[in-house]
Amino acid sequence: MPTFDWNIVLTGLLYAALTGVFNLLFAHKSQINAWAEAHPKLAALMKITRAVGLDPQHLWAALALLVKKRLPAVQTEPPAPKSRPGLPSLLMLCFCLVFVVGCGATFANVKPPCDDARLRAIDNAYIAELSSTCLAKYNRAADCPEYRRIKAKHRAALRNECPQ
Amino acid sequence: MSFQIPEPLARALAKVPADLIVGAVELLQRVFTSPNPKDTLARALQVAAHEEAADAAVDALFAGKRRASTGE
Repeated sequence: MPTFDWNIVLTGLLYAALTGVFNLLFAHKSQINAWAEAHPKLAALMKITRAVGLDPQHLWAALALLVKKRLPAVQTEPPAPKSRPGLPSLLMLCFCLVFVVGCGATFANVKPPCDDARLRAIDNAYIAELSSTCLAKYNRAADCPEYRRIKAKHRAALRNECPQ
Repeated sequence: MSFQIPEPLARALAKVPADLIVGAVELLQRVFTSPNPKDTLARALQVAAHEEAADAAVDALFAGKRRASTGE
């Protein structure tokens, strides 16, 4: 069974996902040289993230080469603001989905580290205190002056029971 | 030339509650500096799930009272 350094794996995946989303949202603009030269700092930042992160446009180009045997047409102007998402967007969404599902599957098998019954008892004490203090006088919990104090106390009790 | 956040991104960021951003950054910092990041994240998720459930129960309690007071 291989062991992983979770710091490195999680950092890498998070970085790839974030740069991928960033590229997905803005990278097409960096193809316009005039725009890039008008916004040199932002364009340079985009080019750096494209160079060192996941790049949907390059993935799309690679797929087009494999399937159509030719490169996709070069985009010379930004798409219309409300254009439908293309294949690169769907690809990137698939990557994000795989990332989220992978993380979910990893953590779904983890046994809760803290005693759930004790945490539930803290929750019940919080609800009981809020009910006895605020429910009779106020229609919304947020209107009660004691609400923030009781909520902070609940949060502190949970963190005390399950330190991180 | 000063760096400007693109307007759509700025608009989207402005809608995110500040508490959420601060909480997410704190969680990431705790996870990535922890000797056991998986356990730290699992604990944070367990506590967050309990906070969420307790808040939902409180909301349901007050919503029930409002419904009762308006006779619905």
